[in-house]
Parts: sequence; C-alpha cells; structure tokens
Amino acid sequence: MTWRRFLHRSRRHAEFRGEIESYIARETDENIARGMAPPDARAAAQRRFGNLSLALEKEYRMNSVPVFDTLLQDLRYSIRQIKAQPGFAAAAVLSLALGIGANTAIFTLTDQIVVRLLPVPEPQSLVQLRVDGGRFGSNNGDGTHAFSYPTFKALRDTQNVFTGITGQVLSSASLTGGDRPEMVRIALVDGNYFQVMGVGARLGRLLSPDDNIKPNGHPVAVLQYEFWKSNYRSDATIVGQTIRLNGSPFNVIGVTAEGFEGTTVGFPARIWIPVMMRPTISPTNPRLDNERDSWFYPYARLKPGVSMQQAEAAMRVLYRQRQEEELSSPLFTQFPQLRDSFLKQTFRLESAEQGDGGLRRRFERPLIVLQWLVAAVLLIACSNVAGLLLARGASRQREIAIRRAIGAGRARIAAQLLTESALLAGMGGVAGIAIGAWLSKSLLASLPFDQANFTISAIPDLRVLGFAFVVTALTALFFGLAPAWQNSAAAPSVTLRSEAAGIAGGSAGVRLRKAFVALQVGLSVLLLLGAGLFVKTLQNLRRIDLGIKTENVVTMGVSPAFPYEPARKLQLIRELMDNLGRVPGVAAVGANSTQLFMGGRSDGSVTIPEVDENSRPQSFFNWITPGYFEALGIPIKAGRGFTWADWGGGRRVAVMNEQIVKEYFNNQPPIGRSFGRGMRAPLDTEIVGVFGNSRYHDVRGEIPRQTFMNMDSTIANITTINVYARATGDPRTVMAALRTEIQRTDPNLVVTGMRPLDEQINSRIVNELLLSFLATGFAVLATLLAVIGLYGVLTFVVARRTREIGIRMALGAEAWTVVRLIVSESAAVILFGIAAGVAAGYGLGKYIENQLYEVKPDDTLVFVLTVGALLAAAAFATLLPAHRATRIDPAHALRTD
Amino acid sequence: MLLGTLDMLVLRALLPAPAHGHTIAHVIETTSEDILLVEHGSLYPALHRLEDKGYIASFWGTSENNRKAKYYRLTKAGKDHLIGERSRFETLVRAITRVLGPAS
Repeated sequence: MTWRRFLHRSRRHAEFRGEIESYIARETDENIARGMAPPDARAAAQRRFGNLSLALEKEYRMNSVPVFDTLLQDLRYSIRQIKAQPGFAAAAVLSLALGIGANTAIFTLTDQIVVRLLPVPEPQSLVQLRVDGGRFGSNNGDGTHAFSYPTFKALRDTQNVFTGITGQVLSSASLTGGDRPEMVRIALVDGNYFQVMGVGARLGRLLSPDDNIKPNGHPVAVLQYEFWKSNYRSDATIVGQTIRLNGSPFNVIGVTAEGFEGTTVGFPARIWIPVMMRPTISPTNPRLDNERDSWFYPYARLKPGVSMQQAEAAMRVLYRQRQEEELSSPLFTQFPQLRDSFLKQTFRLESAEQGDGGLRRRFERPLIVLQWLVAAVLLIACSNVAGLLLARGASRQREIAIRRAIGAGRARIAAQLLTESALLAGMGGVAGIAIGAWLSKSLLASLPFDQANFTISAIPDLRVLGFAFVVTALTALFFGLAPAWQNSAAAPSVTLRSEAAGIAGGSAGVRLRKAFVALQVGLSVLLLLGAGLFVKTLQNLRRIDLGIKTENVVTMGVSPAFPYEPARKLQLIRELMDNLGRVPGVAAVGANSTQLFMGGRSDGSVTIPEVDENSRPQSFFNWITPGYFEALGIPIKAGRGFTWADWGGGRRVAVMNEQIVKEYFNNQPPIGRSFGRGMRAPLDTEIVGVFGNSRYHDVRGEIPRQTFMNMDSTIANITTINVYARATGDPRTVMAALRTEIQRTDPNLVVTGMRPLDEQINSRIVNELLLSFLATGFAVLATLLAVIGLYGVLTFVVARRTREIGIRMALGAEAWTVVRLIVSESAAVILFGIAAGVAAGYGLGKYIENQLYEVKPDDTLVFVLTVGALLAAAAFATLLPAHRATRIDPAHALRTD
Repeated sequence: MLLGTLDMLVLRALLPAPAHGHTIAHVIETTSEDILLVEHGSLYPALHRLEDKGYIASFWGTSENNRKAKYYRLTKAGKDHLIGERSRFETLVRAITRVLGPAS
C-alpha cells in the first residue's frame, strides 16, 4: 500500500491540496453566509482547518517508504560530498578499483580452471579411472590415467556399477580442404562417448556404439559446435559432406550442441571420430589390441545411488581379474620377476566432474596463491580508504556535530556515511571490472598456449560479475563500517564548543587508523616475503645451465599433411634440412622426434653388457638428424655426432650423454662398443660419440641418462619432427624465410608452433614467471599503499599536536625530542605489523613450498631483505612528518587554534 | 477525544450517505452537540488511512454549490468494521460504567 502511495506521491499530494482547497472554499462560503466579510471569512476557515503543515507532514509520511526515502536522500548527499572533494574520491576509487580489478582478474581464471564443472548434465557423477604403479609397457600422458584398449574393453564389458563407461584419446590431425592445411585437435572416442557424457546433437547425429565396431571401418566425424561456427561459418550442409583428416576421407555426420568442448578444460576437441579409426589416422600406432600399450583414457558415469567408494571397490575386483589375465602374456612369462610389482598396482576412481584437469593440476596452486595475494592487496586498499575516510571524518566533525545538534540520530548519520562508502565502492567496482578484464586478458596472453586453440576466456561472465559485486559489497562494509561508526560519534556539546573543532578527531579515531596501518604493514610484509621467495625461485631457474645454447634458436614442428612412405620420409627430411640450412641467416639446422622442454619424453630399458640386468638399466631416448648438436650448441665430448653418411645406411648408430657414460661406463667413453634397446635385447647399436650433459624434457631436476639414436633407424614411426634452426642473429628475422622454404620444399608440410626456443623454455617456467612478476607487482603496490597510510596518520598526528609541540619547543625541547615524539607514535604500529607479517610469512612459505625451486620457505636473505625494505619505507614515511614537526614555529603554533 | 474512536465516528458519519471531508467534520461536531471537536485538518490523513485499509472509497463529484469536491463512501468492509468496532466500544463503555458504579 505504502509502495503504491510512494510511487504516486506527487499525484497524491496534488489531490490532497485539492481537498484542502475545497474545504477552505466551502467553509469560507458558510462563514460569508453567516455574515462575515470575505477576507475574515477565509482567515476563519483556515483557522478552523487547523495546523496545515502538520496535516501535510502526516500525509507525507504516509506516502513514503522510510528506508528508501532516506537512501535516496543519502545518495544525493553523498554525490554532493564526492563532488566537493574529487581528489579524495579519486584516490579512494583508484585504490579500490586496483584491488577489485586484481581480484576479478584472478577469479576469472580460477573460476574456469579450478572451480567450474564440465558443461554436461550431472557432472558430479562422472569419474575417471586411474592406476598407480608402473605400467610395464609404453604409456601415454602422466602414466596413471591411460589404459590399454583391451583392458578398457574388458572393464567396459564386465562392469555393473556405471551407467556407462567410455574413453577417449586426444590427438592432432591435419585437416585439408581449406585454403591451407591446418592442424586441429581431434578426439578418438569410444562409440558411447556422447551417451555417457549426456551431450546432444545440434545438427545431424552423434556417434553411437554402432560407429565403433571394426578397425578402420567407420570413417565418420562429429564437429564441435564452436569449430563448426568459426571454420564452416555455421554451414548446415556440411553434414553429409566429406572432410580429410591426415589425408583420409571422413563423412561428417553431425555437430554437437553448443558449449561442449570435450573433457579437457581449456583445450577443446574440434572433431570427434571413432577410436576404431586410429590406424587410419595414425598409421604409426596401428594396433588397438596391444595390452602393453596404454593410451586410452576411460571416463565413466556412476549409476544413481552408487557411491564412488562402492564403485571403486567393485572395479578393483574386476581390475584384479584383468591383471591375472594379463599375467599370461609373453612379457611376464619371459620376465617372471616383474609379476610381483605388476600386481602391486592400485586401481582408483577419481572425480571427473571438472573433466581431465591437466590445466587444473598445473595452475591450481599458483592460482590459489594469487587469489590470496590479491585478497591481501584488496584488504590493504580497503584499509587505506578507511584511513582516508577517518581523516576526512575528523575534518567533518563540526558538520556532523551540527547535524546531530539539529536532531539527526547517530545511526542516521552512520547510515549516511555508509552510503557514501557504498557509492565509492560501487564506482571502484565498476572501474575494477574493467581493469580486471584487461588484466586477465594480459595474463591469458602470457600463458604458453596456442591462443587459437585455447578456450579459457578473459571476458567476464555473469559468475565473474557476481563475484565482483559481492567483493565490492564486502569491501564497502569493511572499509566503511568502522569509520562510519567512529565519525558519527561527534558529540555536539563537546565538538561545537571546542576551539579545535577542525582537527579534533579524538584519540579513538587515531587508534583505529593506527590499527589499519598495522594491518597494512603486516600484509605488505607477507606479500613482500612471497614475492621475494618467488623472485629467488625464478633467479634459480634462470641460472640453471641447460647445456644448450638457446639464444638465436628457432623451433617448430613440421609434419606432412598425410602419411608418407618411409623411403620418401628419409628423402624429404634430408632435403628439408639441406634447404633450411641454406636459408640466409641460418647457421645450422637439426631435428628430433621428441620435443625439448615440453614435458614429453621417451624412455626405456637398455641392455649394456657392462651393467647388471637386475638393476634394470634405463635411459631417455631421442631420435635426431645430423646437424642437431650444431643447431643446439651441444658439445661433442668424445667420438663424433651423426653425419648424412649415416643416413639411411641401415647401420644403427647412437650417441650417449656424459651422465650415462659416468653411471654405466665408469666415465670411459664407450666409443665403438654396442648396446641394445629393451630388456635382453640384441647388442645391435654402435655407440659412436659422447655429448655434453644437457636438459631434455624439463629445465628442472637431475640431468637424466640420455641416448640419442639416428632418426633413420625409426623412420617408419616418425610423423612430426621438431626442427631447430640456429640463426646468426635475432631468430625472429629468419622465421618467415624458414616457413617459405618449408612450403617450397613440400607444400604438404604443416608447420606448427614456430617460435624462439627461449620462448618455449619460458613456457616451462610460466608459473614461476607469473608468480614472481605478479607477486612483486602486488607487493610493491601494497607497500606503497601502506607507506601512504602510515604517512597520512603521522601527518594527522603532527597536525593534531602542533600546539603541544609548539609549547614543548617554546620551553626549550630539542629537535630530536620532537622527532622521538613522532617516532614513538609509529614505532609500535610498525613493529607490531612486521612481527605479525613475519609470523604469517612462515605459514605462507609452507603453503607455497612446492612452487619454489631451491629456495627454503624460510629463506633468511628474503626475510632480512623484506624486513629491511619495510623498515626503510616506514622510516621514510615517519621522518618526513617528524621533520616537519621540528620546523614548527612555537610562536606561530601557539597562536593557531 | 478518546484515542482510536475517530475512525469509528468517521465511518458512522458516512453510514447514511457519501460525503466530503467538510461535511464529515461538521456532522461529527453537530451530532455530538459540539462536545466532540475534531481538528478538521487532521481529519484528512485519517480519511486517507481508512481508504488505504479499504473501509471507505473515494470519488470526485460536484457539491451542492457546484464546486468540485472529493466524496467518500462506506464500503462493505467498512460497514462490517463499524459494526465490530461499535460492539467492542459498547462493551468497553459498559465495563467502565460498572466499575465506576452509580454517581453519588
């Protein structure tokens, strides 16, 4: 009722006026009829009506929603206040915007990478299968989630705890048909994949179990919605047409519903095909029935009412049965000593509600650390704004006292001050969202992923906006509440009578501001400590000797658009190396089969007569072309590298690194000796050289034992080669020429990921780069804010005690006494803040320990430097106002107020 | 005037026929032989409150001397309310009279 009256209140008011008018007119008429003169008659009528303003006031109150009404009033008043002091407002809004923006930016990433669930119905019931313990064969990925296809089938066909169990493996394939061949990420999936995931078709139909029966028998493909939209411009007639993947024709049968990108967050599958087509797509991995070859990633959906523990128990039994079957395979009959450790594997289920979390595993910890860091920054920004508000409140004491004197309640004034805070926070929030979008975009651009095929988005969605809103609201409460309560306390009788009304903040206000400064100092210490640890980690990583001269090297992947015969590949690779070596500005060119520094590696057993078989000697392997050592600047320590004379000759040659020579050959270069690849393998490969120790899959850790084979010995298995070209100058200047030369050599070659090698190495330490860069930035920002906060408080203190200082100086106090007076105001605050920050720093160190490299979480140097830096900054912020205090002219000070 | 009785008096004044604010004030005063004096200005907020509660409804009409005036009329809910209030009031008055006893 009141709402309706409120909304129509101007009309109501007019109507009431009309009623009053009609009353007066009538009464006047009657008075005239009784014989009064018209002016007297009207005056008498008005008297009869009574208190007009009281009636109007009553009516007005009936027509208003009190909360809403005051709110509007407060808002108008706040806007006037902010307009009156634009400098203050700008400072407050800017610090809040930085704090809120940083939070929104990190949350944009945290939400998508750490928090969000797969966009499928009931993601909570999806699980991933996993086996811990050795695999006893070749294995894909992290060594725990991949299963062999026969094992997967056995589990799929016997289980009864899942509504369905399916699987996939990601791969990339050249897609031809457009203007130039393109590499796209594809997923090879079991027939029931979309049924288990619960994903529907946008167009046509999706795969079904009938599409996955016999090897090479189902050349059908499903397109991902966003890929269909961008690559085929939403052309509906694509269904029924033929596309070529790695040169083989596939019939497009449908397009998935919008939003589904597969089960790997951030890295969308663009095309799905039945896993039975694997031999067609990658002829170098032809066999689906090898049970010692683990490459298929199963996903399953729990039956309703079956818990993950129950399902796990049931599946363990099945997996154990499967292991018993596998024990009868040749591997275990030949090497019975492996049986025991094979049976020690443990089968587990893992939630897959967020899909396969490679990205999550890699970035979860750094993101959570960053989320805490930005929360601390926001807290500091809030404290600063609170400090500003308190200071401003102190200078508004007279105004507030007057308002209280004329009848405003304390709560009413506090509410008005809070409205002002909310307005500031709101403006900060809006600016923060803009800053956040920009920051998360820059962050994403710095991640080492091919941006075209990476779908973590920087655009704030509703969830991010909601987050920003909540953060803003909390912010307003945090920095607004205490000052509002404090500032509204001004008692009219005291304040208005006081001579020093202008600066009478009261000691409670100063105490509160000091508490905020202590909080800021503590958080700054914490952030500086974190930044110090991350920077030292990065320095340590940078100092690592890679054993490779990485500067001036360009790297790229090169693969034929469709599979070539081995003889042709031999010919092509040699021709390509020759041609690229002749490009102006290129000094040396070589290639390998397993890319450097990308985490991938190839390792296996070796048979070396000098080494006991039971110690299971092993080495990392790579297959390289002649020119490789020259291109990467790896020195040959003994013997020789490969030459084109070794190429295609059928003689198997290898080079080993110093590490393996040290461990297996007593540091005696084994030139001319032979070894075999695998357990009890024939000694068919001759060692022709020893090369210097250099990093392989990662920049961290021990340098592994390495054996490099000539690439011609495995030419049938080669699909993509990784080319390394050493330029004489800036590697970027030769990139275009290299690309042209590759296309000229063979137009069917697809080039991927061309970039300087240093960039590729940076991608391995991207976490550390990001953490050290961002943590340092945030820490410096935080310290700056804290110093400003401290400076503000002390300036205020000096102003408040001007008279007192003047008297002291007039009585003969020395300058240093005055300095001591001011220092004593800040010392306790600073020391308390530092102590709290250092204590919290030990906790933080423990939490981020696994993000550090060769730095202890309580690194003394970092702690000492941090405390030193903060003391220096604090001293600066203290001595400036202290110095100003010593310059107070007693005569002048005594006259003020 | 007794607290809370104004509403009842207003409703009673409207029982015979719709009227405007001026008439209502005068009816109350004259029927009570000028014992119950209503401040005429405060009558209007009361009328609006009663209207909000749905006991009376209003319409603009023309008065006897051709002036536009806002008329109020009793609604069904208003009549029911009046009956209820009236019996409550009478109970109260009887009770008070019994307590006071016969006048000495």
